[in-house]
Amino acid sequence: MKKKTENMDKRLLGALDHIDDRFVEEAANKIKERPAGAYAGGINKRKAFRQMAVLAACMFLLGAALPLAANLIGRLPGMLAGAGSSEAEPTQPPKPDDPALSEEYFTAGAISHISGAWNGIDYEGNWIYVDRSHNRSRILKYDPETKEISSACIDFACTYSYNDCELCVPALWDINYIEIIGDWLLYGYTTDASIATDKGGSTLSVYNMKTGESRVVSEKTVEGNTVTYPVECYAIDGKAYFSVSKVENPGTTDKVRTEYIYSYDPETDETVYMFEKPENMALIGITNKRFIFTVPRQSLSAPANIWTTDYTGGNLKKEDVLDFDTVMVCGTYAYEANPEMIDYAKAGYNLRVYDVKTNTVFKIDLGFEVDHCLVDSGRLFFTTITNDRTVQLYETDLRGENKKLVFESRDMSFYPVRGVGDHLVIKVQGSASGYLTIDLSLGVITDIPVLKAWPDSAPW
Amino acid sequence: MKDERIVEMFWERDENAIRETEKKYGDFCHYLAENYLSSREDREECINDTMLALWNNIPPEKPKSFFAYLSGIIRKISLERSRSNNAWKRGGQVHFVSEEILMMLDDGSDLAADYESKRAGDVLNKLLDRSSEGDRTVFIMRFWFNESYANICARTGFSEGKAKMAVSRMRAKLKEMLREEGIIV
Repeated sequence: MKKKTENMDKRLLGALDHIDDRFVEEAANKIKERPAGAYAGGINKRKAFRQMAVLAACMFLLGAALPLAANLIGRLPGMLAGAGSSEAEPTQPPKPDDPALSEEYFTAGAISHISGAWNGIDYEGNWIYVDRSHNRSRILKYDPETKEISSACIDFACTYSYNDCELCVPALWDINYIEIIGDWLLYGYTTDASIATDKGGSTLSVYNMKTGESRVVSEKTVEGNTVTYPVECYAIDGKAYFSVSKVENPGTTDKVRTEYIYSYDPETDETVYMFEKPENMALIGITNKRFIFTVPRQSLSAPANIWTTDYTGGNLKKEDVLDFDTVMVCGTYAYEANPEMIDYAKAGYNLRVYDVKTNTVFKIDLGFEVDHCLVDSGRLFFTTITNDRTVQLYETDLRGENKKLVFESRDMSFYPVRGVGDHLVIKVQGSASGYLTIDLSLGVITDIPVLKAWPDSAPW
Repeated sequence: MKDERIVEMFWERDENAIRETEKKYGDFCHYLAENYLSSREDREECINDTMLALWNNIPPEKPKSFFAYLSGIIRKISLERSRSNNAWKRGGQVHFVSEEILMMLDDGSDLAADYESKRAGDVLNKLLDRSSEGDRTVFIMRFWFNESYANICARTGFSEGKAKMAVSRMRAKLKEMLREEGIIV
């Protein structure tokens, strides 16, 4: 697949190059007048003033004593002086509920990129995810504020075609995973359907969400009877860590596979070899201190074999306590889910949670049978179906406590997909299949910006 | 010092023109370069390249708005630098970024692409002209100055939702206008 970044970027940049000077000056004057940060409290001051004005007016109209109104007005300067710090903070997802995070923590998001079972990433309040419709696999962006769906690339006139867009590949290929480091979007895709026979290949690329710059970090290479290709990638603390598989004599009985771990810094474009992966183990995630591997199980009923090493590849040890294939992590917790992450509904189901701080596993019992579960930015979402077929959505903290009913519906079957700030994207099942957004602060569906499976409504 | 006088000094080949430019717009140049480049060394190099570009282009150029002209150069150099940095390292080629940018500014090459850019630019200007000052400001800050939404909100007093809505509206309108002009299909 040819990369045509430069042409597309040039078109966009070209248009910007011909903007009238007066528009640039107009914007620049605003920048010079009000340096960023100086008005962090400005919005609040106006808001506080309006609130005070309304309150004072109401008190007057209700015939409240003049001294009381005067008192309120007298307090106004003090309120304006104090206003700003708490409300000025941008809306952020709640932080993990532990007051003091341990020294060790997981990457944010999925500990294991199971195709189809992870829910994308957060970037500047947008949900970045992989859409697999229209015979292509492409990375899209959903903005819950504007309810707009667009390509995650920066091009205004993106055609969403794999001939033109960096973030779109043909359907026979597939974007397997995405990670974000600052403004850098890392994504891996298979480029050959026969990858299972080790004659296939894949590519790990990086794309800057602000400038449109794109690079290939690692891709399939063939030298004689040896094939190498990147397999998996996780990001933490400003760097990406990916594994590369080297297969000698692929597709034969003499096949030999070795895997290596590398780190990658998108800011410096530096790739550094770290260590050779333990034999016969798959990399399924990382913490800031350890790499996490799993040995394939002999059967589904057998407990998972979880092993960890440090960042030098040393201190290889089996983690007996962590005996499940974790799928979702947040902060210092890892949550067990079945590999498909689709249905947990089992009688008396308890969600098991591994706490890396204490190296223990505890169970979350909500008192009802869980239908679906999502862990997202410091909170858990659960759905359950009542006897009268009402689907209820609950939110709890990361330990499953402080449960509250957020939303319920008898008209549709749904499950949570992704939380973005105060909004939760849910997938609706059945004949009305599609996506909706719930405003968590109001507990209602405020809009129906259907992120459909794009058969009809999408213009592309 | 007024911009008109600085431009005159360039025309007079008075080297103090560079000093005066740095004195008046040095901070702004750093701020704009910082929106594109995280490395201090890269930013300083780009600013130096910008001063060189000004010296080499004025004359024959006589920009009506010196500030906009300067901003355009540093923006282009910074953007190009952020993209070509790694081409330099990867291929072992030596990219003289400043010379390439100067060539682009000289309008010497790739006339077809330049023509398309100009047409797209005309459409964009029409849109900006029709838009409200608020929408326009948010759009330019976002795409020309490469500002974060947090900074845009701090400067304009808009909420983040409102700023994003403005950008979204402008983008949709621009796409429609580009289609009408046949610049995109």
